[in-house]
Amino acid sequence: MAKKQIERPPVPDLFETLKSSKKEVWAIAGGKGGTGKSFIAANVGVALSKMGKRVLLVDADLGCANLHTFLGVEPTATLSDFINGKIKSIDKVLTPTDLPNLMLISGACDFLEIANPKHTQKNRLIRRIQDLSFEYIILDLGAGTGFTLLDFFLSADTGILSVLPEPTSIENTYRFIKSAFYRRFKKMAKDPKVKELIIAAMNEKNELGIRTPHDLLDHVASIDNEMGQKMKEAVLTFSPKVIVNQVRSRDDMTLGFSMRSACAKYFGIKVDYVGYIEYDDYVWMATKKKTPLILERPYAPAARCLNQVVSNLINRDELKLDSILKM
Amino acid sequence: MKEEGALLAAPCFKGVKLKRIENQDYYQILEVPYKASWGEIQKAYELAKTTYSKGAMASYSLFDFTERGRILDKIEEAYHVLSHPEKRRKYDQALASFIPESASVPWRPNTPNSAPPLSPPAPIVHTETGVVTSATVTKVAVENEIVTGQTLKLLREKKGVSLQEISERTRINISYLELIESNSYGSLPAPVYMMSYLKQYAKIIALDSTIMEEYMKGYQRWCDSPRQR
Repeated sequence: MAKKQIERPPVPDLFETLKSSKKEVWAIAGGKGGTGKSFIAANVGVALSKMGKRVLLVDADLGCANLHTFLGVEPTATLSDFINGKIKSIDKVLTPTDLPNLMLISGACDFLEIANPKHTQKNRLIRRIQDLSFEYIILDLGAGTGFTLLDFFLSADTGILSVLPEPTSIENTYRFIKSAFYRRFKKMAKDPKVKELIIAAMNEKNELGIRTPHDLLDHVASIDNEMGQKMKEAVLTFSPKVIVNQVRSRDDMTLGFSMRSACAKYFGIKVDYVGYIEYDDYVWMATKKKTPLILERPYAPAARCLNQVVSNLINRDELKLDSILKM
Repeated sequence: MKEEGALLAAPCFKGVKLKRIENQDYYQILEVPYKASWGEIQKAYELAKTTYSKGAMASYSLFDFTERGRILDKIEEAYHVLSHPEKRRKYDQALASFIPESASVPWRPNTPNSAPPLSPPAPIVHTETGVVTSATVTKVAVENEIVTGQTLKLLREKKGVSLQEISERTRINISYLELIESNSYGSLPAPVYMMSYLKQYAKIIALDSTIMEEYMKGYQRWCDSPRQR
């Protein structure tokens, strides 16, 4: 968060045109590495395609891609080939999987520069993906809070955060939400004074005494009331989903509810707790075999949890506190 | 208040968005809907206490010591009112004047069949249908020292708590709770255990301890009387 901020021109909504057609973009992120983003992306994709949906998985973890390994496929072409212009047609980048209606665009590790594509490159990519006929497009975003990653996350229809029941992971998840928040504010702001204020507020120990997004919005409203209102509206539409992965106890399961409460009280946003995934030895076994868990062990505890999560995501539902306390 | 009114669209959670805790009503503080049952309030309260306890994973990195303390105080304050039927009723009345949807949903204890508790001193009468309202039952029962399992059951139902819930929370076997409510003195455990069971039962549904003492007296009398075996 304390890293240097580079000024960039405002980025238009990347998926604007996509949203008009009947497609849904789900983006999976989480701040910290190793929280199971790729595992979740692969299995959510498999679960959706097993329901008969046409699904495209995009490994947007451009620096360190390994979604293809979770699916057990070897990509012949990758996203970087398309971004570089080596391959002109997006069709040629699609890697088929074992399931007929599940396709993958692999990210594969290569150039470091590719991890931060230019805005025009991002736009071209999104336009081409949009031309393809898929019902669900799932983006595996990787770790960190880079601008590219935040823009993809904010532009998606559904932003999903994968959290482990550990302090480090939770801290980074909150940091991610905060970064996404301020990124969106900064994109909205036109007045340089407001922009300055947002940049100042990103530093937790700022001299203005801005501690929470509430404080920031009050400050913005005092400079530009209209912008303050607009930002408030933006906050109301920002509602990320949380998945707690590798739960081992009932306390781990209720963590999602606690995070929902803390986010409501701190950020003033409504986070949806869409479900937890039980810690399950079959997960690493399936990963070692390079097969998605849902195909390898459809009745394993973690696979059942994943199906529940997918059903909640499709129905825009969330977990009920009762369902855990009555166990 | 006008500006906030717009944000208070039906599901309670929506109202919480972008409202500082100082401006939230008790339902929003506990994050329960306006029509929340007694059980829902209990669960929300327990979750809130865990969420904001010292060093709790979900909150330590967002709130410092004083902020957490302030949130906990607010939660205690909200729970103190919402867990108490009479206090909640009065609070709801006050709330209804500026949040209409909080009034449009009657919460369970005030169903048409039960008289509002403690409204102008309820005369001890039987209604035409012969149904005795629970508030009057308490009065009659306590005055005549005849607190029976039936009384307890009525009071419990009035609070909207199921036996299953009490059993889960106290770990008292549900069959014992059923025996208590059906006055099956002969099958109940020894008085020393009963004292503890009744105490926990009373705590869960926030009953006055005298009511339990009365029940215990009845049971004790039965124990002391010559038994027919």
